[in-house]
Amino acid sequence: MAAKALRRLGVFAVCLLGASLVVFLISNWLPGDVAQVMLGTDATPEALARVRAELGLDQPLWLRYFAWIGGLLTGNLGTSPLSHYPVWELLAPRVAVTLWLVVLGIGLSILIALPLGMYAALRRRHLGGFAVSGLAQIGMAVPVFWGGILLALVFAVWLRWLPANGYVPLTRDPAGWAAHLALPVLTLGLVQAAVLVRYVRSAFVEVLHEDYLRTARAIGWSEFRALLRHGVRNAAISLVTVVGLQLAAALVGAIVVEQVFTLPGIGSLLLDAVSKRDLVVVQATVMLLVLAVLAINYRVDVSYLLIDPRQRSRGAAPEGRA
Amino acid sequence: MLAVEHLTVAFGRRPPAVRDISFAIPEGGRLGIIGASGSGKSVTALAIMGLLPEYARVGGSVKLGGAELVGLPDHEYSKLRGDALTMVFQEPMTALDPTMRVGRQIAEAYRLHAQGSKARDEVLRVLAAVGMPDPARVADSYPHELSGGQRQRALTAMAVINRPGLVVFDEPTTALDMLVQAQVLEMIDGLLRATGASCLFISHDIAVVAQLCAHILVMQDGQAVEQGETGQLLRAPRHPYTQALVAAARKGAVRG
Ligand SMILES: Nc1ncnc2c1ncn2[C@@H]1O[C@H](COP(=O)(O)OP(=O)(O)O)[C@@H](O)[C@H]1O
Ligand SMILES: [Mg+2]
Repeated sequence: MAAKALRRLGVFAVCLLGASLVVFLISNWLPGDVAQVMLGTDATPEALARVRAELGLDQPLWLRYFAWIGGLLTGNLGTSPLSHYPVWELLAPRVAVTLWLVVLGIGLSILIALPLGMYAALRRRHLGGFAVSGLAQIGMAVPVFWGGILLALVFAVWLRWLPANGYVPLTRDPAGWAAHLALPVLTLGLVQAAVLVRYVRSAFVEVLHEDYLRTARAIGWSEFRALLRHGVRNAAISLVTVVGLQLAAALVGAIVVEQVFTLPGIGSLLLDAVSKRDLVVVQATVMLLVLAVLAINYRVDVSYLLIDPRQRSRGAAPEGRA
Repeated sequence: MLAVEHLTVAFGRRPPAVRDISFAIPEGGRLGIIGASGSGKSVTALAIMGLLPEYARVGGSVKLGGAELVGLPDHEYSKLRGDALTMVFQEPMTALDPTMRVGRQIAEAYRLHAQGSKARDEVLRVLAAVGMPDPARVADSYPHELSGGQRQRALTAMAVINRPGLVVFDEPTTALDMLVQAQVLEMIDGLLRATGASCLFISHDIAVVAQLCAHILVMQDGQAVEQGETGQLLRAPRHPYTQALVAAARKGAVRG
């Protein structure tokens, strides 16, 4: 088990390195640069060259790449040439906002999708089951952007229950924090839940046909209790992958939601930095997102080992699901 | 003990999978059902257990100790399953939950119907009773760590831990190789003898059924074509299908 986990860690490191190269090349391919942004469009070529030299932008690409990677490895994300703040100081408060949004949004989506998906699986031949599946289909067709605006219209404009934009840190005002996050989290949670319900339903439909569930009923569990007792863990084996993918999708969804509700998360930081060609900030932010997605996938791989005993034992008959 | 009368099971608009079957098993008696694959043996067993899918239409009567089971709501039925009647299925490889230790799964069967904290002792006792040489090790194993024969024994242990009055076996040895099959059959025979449970034993192999059961019912295309005392039926089969079965079994026995 330790060897397996270690090998997956190696794959993780290689992926990260590859991603850093792609991120660096793409961001440097963007036309225009930060010197132009700093000096404006009527700057002289001499002034531009001077600023570029100061920022090290005149160095060859590969040298800049290694300088950047070297910084990352020693924990130095660099300093924004525009704001003169260390990138880490710009990122930290933004990361907190996005993290709250994603974690609470995914949590909410699981809380919604798990019971609904199980219900849809158990009642798959009845009206209730069809209704849940149909509702999820409709929910999936709604773009995040639209969903957010709709919720803002209902709860902020029409009912005036919740604020539609802005953010207050948790440490300053817990109630205000909750109020400002409520609509964004609801938006992300509902959109993710609509996707998740389908996977939960099909995972449980599959489990319902398993022989061990029939065995469980033969010893006296009711269908529902058998599903809770022996279905959930087995369905979880296939759902862990989906939730991992969902988590990655939620990161992207969060960037959109942040725009709708003007939350100061990494989404707005990233978009702002791209438009100003502040590549130091862009690269650090994108690398952070890549790191998050890779780390999620790595966790997913390792959590298989925790849930599924067949994957744990070495040299066992290869009968476990892939 | 068990009285089945005019049992009919149909799925959707197709012709019934089981048609007008009647038989009875007395206290401690054993009835074997044989028939080709698809003749309705499993459907009959599932109908008795109340485990057919909800879209199956069941007609006729199934009485256990005088009480009618057909039409019983699931929450009532599930109190009887595992306690008054249980079933051991054909596929030992997939019939156990792969994510849970075998001992815990067997203990579950016990705790569902009995109070008390001696579940572990009961599990070890019943694992020994089904012929496991090392009950503690088996109890702490995951299903994939056991052989097919061991899993089938574990499933049998799970079925009999509450000393049910009726055990239904649906081709319990079909998926096992010959040697293991003989050992498991011997174990089942001893176990039934020791507990005095009634038994419905399903197989497509007439030799296996004859070894275990005093009475045999022959099924073909959802119907009971012949039933009777085992020796009688083997000596003088009346229905052409039974005659063919017996003749084929004789040939097989002579060849080896
Ligand atoms: N859940 C089901 N839905 C529809 N048809 C079924 C179902 N279970 C069994 N059948 C049909 O009933 C017939 C008898 O099946 P079965 O009792 O499993 O045969 P066997 O004698 O091999 O155990 C078959 O034709 C099968 O297709
Ligand atoms: Mg069958």
